[in-house]
Amino acid sequence: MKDRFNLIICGLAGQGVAMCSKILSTALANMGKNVLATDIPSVTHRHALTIGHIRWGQDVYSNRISEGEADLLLAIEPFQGLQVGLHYMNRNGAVLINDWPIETRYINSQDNVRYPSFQEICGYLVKSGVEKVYPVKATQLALKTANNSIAANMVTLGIASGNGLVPTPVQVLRKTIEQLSPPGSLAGNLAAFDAGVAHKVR
Amino acid sequence: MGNYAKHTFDKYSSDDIAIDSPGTELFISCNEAVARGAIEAGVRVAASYPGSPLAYVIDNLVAAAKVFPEMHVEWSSNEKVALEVAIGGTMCGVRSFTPMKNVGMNVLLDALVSISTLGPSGLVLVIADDPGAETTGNEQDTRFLAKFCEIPVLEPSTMQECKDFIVRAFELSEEIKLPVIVRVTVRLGYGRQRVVLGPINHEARQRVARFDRNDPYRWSVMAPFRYPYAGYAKQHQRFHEEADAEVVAKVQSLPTLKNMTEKIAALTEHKLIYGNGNEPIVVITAGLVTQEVIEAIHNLQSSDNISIFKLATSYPLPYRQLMQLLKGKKEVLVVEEIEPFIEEQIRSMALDLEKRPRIIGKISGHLPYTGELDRGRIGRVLAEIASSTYCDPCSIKTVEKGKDMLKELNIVSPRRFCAGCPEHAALYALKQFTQSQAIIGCGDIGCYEMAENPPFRVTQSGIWMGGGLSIGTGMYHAGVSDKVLALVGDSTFFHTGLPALANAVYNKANILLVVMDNGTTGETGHQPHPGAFGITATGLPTKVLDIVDIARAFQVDFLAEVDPFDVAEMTRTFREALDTPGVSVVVSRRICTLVAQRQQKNRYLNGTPCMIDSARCVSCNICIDQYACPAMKWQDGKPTIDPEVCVGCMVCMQVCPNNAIGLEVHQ
Repeated sequence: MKDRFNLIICGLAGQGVAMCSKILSTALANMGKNVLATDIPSVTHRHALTIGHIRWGQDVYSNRISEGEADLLLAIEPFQGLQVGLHYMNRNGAVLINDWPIETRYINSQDNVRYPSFQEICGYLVKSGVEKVYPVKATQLALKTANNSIAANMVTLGIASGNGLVPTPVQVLRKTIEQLSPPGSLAGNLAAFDAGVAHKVR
Repeated sequence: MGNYAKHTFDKYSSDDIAIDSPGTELFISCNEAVARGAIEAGVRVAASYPGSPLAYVIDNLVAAAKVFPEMHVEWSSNEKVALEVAIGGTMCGVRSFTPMKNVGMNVLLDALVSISTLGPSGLVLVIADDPGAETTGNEQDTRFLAKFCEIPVLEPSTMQECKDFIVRAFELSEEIKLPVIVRVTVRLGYGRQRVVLGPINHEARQRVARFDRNDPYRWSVMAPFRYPYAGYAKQHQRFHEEADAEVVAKVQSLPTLKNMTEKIAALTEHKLIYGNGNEPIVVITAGLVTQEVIEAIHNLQSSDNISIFKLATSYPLPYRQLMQLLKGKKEVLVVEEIEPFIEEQIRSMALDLEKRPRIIGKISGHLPYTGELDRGRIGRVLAEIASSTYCDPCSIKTVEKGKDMLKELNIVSPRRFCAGCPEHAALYALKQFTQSQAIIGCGDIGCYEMAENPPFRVTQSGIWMGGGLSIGTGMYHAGVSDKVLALVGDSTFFHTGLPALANAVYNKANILLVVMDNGTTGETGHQPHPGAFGITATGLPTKVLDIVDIARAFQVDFLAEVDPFDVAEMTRTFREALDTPGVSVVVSRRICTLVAQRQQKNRYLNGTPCMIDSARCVSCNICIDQYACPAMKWQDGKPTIDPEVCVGCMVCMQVCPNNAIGLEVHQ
C-alpha cells in the first residue's frame, strides 16, 4: 500500500479556497509530513472556479493530482464540487460538500439549462461512484458564528479536522489559522473553525 | 496605499522571506522561492511586469527591500522595459533579475537577443511556461528562444530547486558572461513546498555600481569593427570561436559557446536519480515533470530495467555525459512538457552513436505535445516499453462515468466578469451600438477579453498585449466598410498601447478606442502601474500619468472621460465618439470593484445589495438577458438578485425599464 493522500479543495474565487489550502498544507508541513501543494486559481475573477491540490505521504513526488486520484474533496460551493468531483474523485473517496449554492453561471431566460439542486448534486456524486458524500451547512454555520459567509472555508476545515477526515489535529490547525489569518479576520476564522470542529458528520 | 493588493498577494508572499538564517525550513510558494533565490544571490536590481503565475515575486522582493534598502525593486511598464532596467544594472556590475510569464519573453526578445553575445554578467530571467495554457493565451515553449539567443536555460523540478537554481544561475551568468534563463512551469508556479534556506550573498548585493565610460565600444554592436564586417558579426564570430587573433584581442572579455557548454556540462545538478545507468531503458527528463516520472516509476509493478536521468538544463545539454548514458541503451524515453525540445537534441546526438537506441517521446507519437503530462500517461508508456504493468492509483471507471455526466449536465459556461465590474457596465453600453450597427470589435488582453462572450459579443478578437488598436487601424486602412472599435486596458495602454495610439493618429485612422481604465493591473492581482495608485512597487508616492492627458497630447480627434456606472452618459458619449471621424478615445474610468471593496472595507459599494421588487417586475428579463450581471439568477420564472454575489453597484437599477430594482432598505 502506497503512503499517499490526495486532497482537493474547491469553490469560487472570493470564498477563500487558496487561503484554506495554504492553511491546511502549512499545518501538514508543520506536523512534519512530506506535503506538496498547488493551486489552480481563477486569476482574479471573483466567483470563478478555484481549486487547491494538497498531497502528502512518503510516496508523493509531484504536486498535482491527476483525474480520478482524489481521496477527499472539500467543496465550499456545491456546483463547483460536482464539476471538480466528477473529474478528480477516486472511487473510494469522500466528498464534504457545502449546501450553499452560488449560481454565477451564465444563464438567460430563453435557455432551458438550470442549476441542479443540492440533492441532485449529491445524487450525481454518489452515482459517479464516490463512496461517501457528507453534505454540510458550512455557510450557515459561518454566518451564525462569524457573521461572514466567507468563513465557510474555516467551518469546512473545522469539520474535516473534527471528524478525522484529515490527519491534522484540531490544535495544530487552529494554531496555523492563528499564524496565517489576516488580523482583521482572525477572530471570525477561529469562531467558524471551532463551530466546524464541533459539527459531527455521518 | 502601501498594501495596494495585500489581500490578493498574501496568499503567495510572506514577510519572512528575507530572514538571514541558513538552514531554516519554510513551507513556501513558488513566488516566494523565486524571490528567495534572488535574495540569496544578492540581487540589487529587480524589475518586472506582472504576469501569472509569477506575478507575486516582486511583492516578495519588496518585503526584502525593506530589510536591504540598497535593493531596487520595480514594476516596469512592460517586460522589455523591465529587462532593459535589469541590463542597466548588470552593465554597472550588480546582479539583476527579471521574472515574467511565458509571453513576456516575446516582448523583450529584441533586447535579449541583442545583449546576449555582448557578455552581460549576473543577469537572470525567470520565465513561467504554461503547458495547458491555463493562465496565458498560448502554450509556447520558451526554451526555443533560449536556443535562439544562444543562452542557457535551467529547469528546476522542485521548489527547493526553484530557489537554488536562481542562485546557481547568477553564478553561471557571471562565469560564462551570458544571461541565464530559469524556466518554471505553471503547476510549479502555483505550487507550495518545503524549502531549506541558504545563506544570503550580502557582498554581491552591496557591490558598488560602476560603469566604465572609457571603453565606448564595450556595449555596442556597431563597433569596434568597420568595413567589411559589422561589429555584431565579429562578436558572433568570437562566440563561436571563428574570429581571427586580431579580433580576439579586442573582444577577449566576450562570451564563447565553448565556455558556456563546458560550464553547463560540469553542473552537478545533472544527475542520475533512479537506477545505476546500466539498465537497458533510460528516461531523460527535466523540470517539474521529473517528479511525475518518479511517481510513475513507483507505480510500475517492476522497474529494475529502467533508470532516470534528470537534466538541470534543457539547453545546452551535457553532451559527453549523455553520450555515455545513451551508449548501449535499448530504449530512451524523453519526457518534457510542451515541445520535444530536449528530444530533438537527443535525436541529433544519437546520430553520433554507432548503434542507436530507439528514442521515444513526442516525435514517436507516444506522448502529447500539449497540456501538462501526468504520471498515468508516462507510466503507461513506460509499462509498454519495459514490459511491466502500470498500477494506476486512479479509478478509471469513476473518471469515465464522471466525464459522461459532465457532458450530460452541459455545465460549460463562458468566463464572466465579477459582479459590479465597471468594464461589464461599459460593455453593456457599448453593446447597444454593436448590436444595431456594423461595428468590428478588436479586443486586447485583460479582463475585457470577455467582451467576446455573451451577452456582449462586442469584440471578435483579442490575442496579445496591446495589439487591438493597431489591428483595428489596419482593418480601417484595408478599406473595411464597417466602423472599427478597439479596446485596451489601462495597464496594457502603458505596456504597448502608446506606440499603437501614436500610429493610429499619425496615419489618420478612423477608429474608436475605448480605454477600460480600472485604475490597476486587474487580472494579475491589482499591481500599480504608471497611471494607477500613485505609488511605486515599494510604496513610494509617485506621479500618476493620466491617460486622458496622454490622449490629449496625442491630438486625438475626440476625447472623453466617463464613469461607466452612469449608463445614460456612457451611451451618449459612445454615440458622439462613433459619429466623430478620426481617432476617438473614450476613457471609461472607475476603479476595479475588488479594489473599491477593499478600500471601502465594505463588500457593498453603496452600503447594501440591490434587490428586485417583484410587484413591479414584469419579467421583461432585460436585466438577466441583456445586462446579465452574475448576481442575477433565475427563480420560478422571474429574475432575482443573489445578495451574496451582488455588490450594490446600482447599474442594474438604470438598466431596468420598470424601476423595479432598488437598493435593499434595512428596516
